[in-house]
Amino acid sequence: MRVFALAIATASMVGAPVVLQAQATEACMQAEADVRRDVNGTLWIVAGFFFGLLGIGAAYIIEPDPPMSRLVGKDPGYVAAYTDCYKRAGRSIQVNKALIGCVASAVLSTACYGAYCCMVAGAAGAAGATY
Amino acid sequence: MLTLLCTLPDTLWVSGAFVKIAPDGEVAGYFYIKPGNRTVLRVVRPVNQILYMVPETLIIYYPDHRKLFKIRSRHRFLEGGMASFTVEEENLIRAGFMFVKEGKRGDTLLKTYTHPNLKTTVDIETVNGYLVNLYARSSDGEMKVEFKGIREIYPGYAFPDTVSTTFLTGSRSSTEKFVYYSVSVKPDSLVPDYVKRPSFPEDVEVIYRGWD
Repeated sequence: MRVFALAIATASMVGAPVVLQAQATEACMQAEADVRRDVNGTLWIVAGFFFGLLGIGAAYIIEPDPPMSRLVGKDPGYVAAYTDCYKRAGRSIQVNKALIGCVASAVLSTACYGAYCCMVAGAAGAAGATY
Repeated sequence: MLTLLCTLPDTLWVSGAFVKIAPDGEVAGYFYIKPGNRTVLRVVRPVNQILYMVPETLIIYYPDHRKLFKIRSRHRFLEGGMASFTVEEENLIRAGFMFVKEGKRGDTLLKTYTHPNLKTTVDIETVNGYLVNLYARSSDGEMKVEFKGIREIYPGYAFPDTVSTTFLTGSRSSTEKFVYYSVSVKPDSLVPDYVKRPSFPEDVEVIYRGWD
């Protein structure tokens, strides 16, 4: 009987952290799925494209708000894990999208500038050949 | 919908009981709403939890765990029934949405808005000025919100019996339903003190999110 009680006590001591860990993982997975749906990727690409580094900075600073309905009826461990993961994943998505916009803008600007230089060089070459 | 958000005298609250039915289980409790000011949810099952939604902040208090979360948030959950209520027509236009078309199907007025940059389309269906359905579609997925059993509980102020929200992302779909019971308008004197004047013991652990 004593062995049985000891086994239960041991199992509960080992089991409790495992359950908490599993709950945190579940909360985090749910938060990441939700934030992928909630964050407006197009908006942050546009921000990165037009505002460059400022757009990326804003994407880093402005944290998305976790949806409240997901927190109703959840225990403190779940709320802590969910809000952490939601904000972290949201910020990561925002920054990545803004970065894509910023790089696209830089590539486009470089291409335009290169084309402009080629045109000027071509025009100068043509003028030199004439005179 | 728009009528759902109409103002109530400052001394009155909308209150009742609710059950949230979602794939991860059922949640039951009570709600108290002072439109434009405060929404309080008292969850009694499965956990003892009180949520205070005040402008810019969500406070979640666990009396049994002696824990308090302060989360920076701009949501206006349940103010007029549910979070999606913030998607008013005026707000859509202010957010850059453009009116596309309007039509009638029986007594239902259908309006479509679209956002050229965000590639998002929102369809709104209203009956007698009350929102009954809302569909939002974008490249990331779809959201459908249905409001059922809308009835006037105070002159000019209506409330639904059920709000169902379905999310569709790729092949995944999930539905969350809020069912409201015994919804009525109450004066200040009939609302519990913890709703009107939230106060927390000094020894509770306060956890901040979004204020760093």
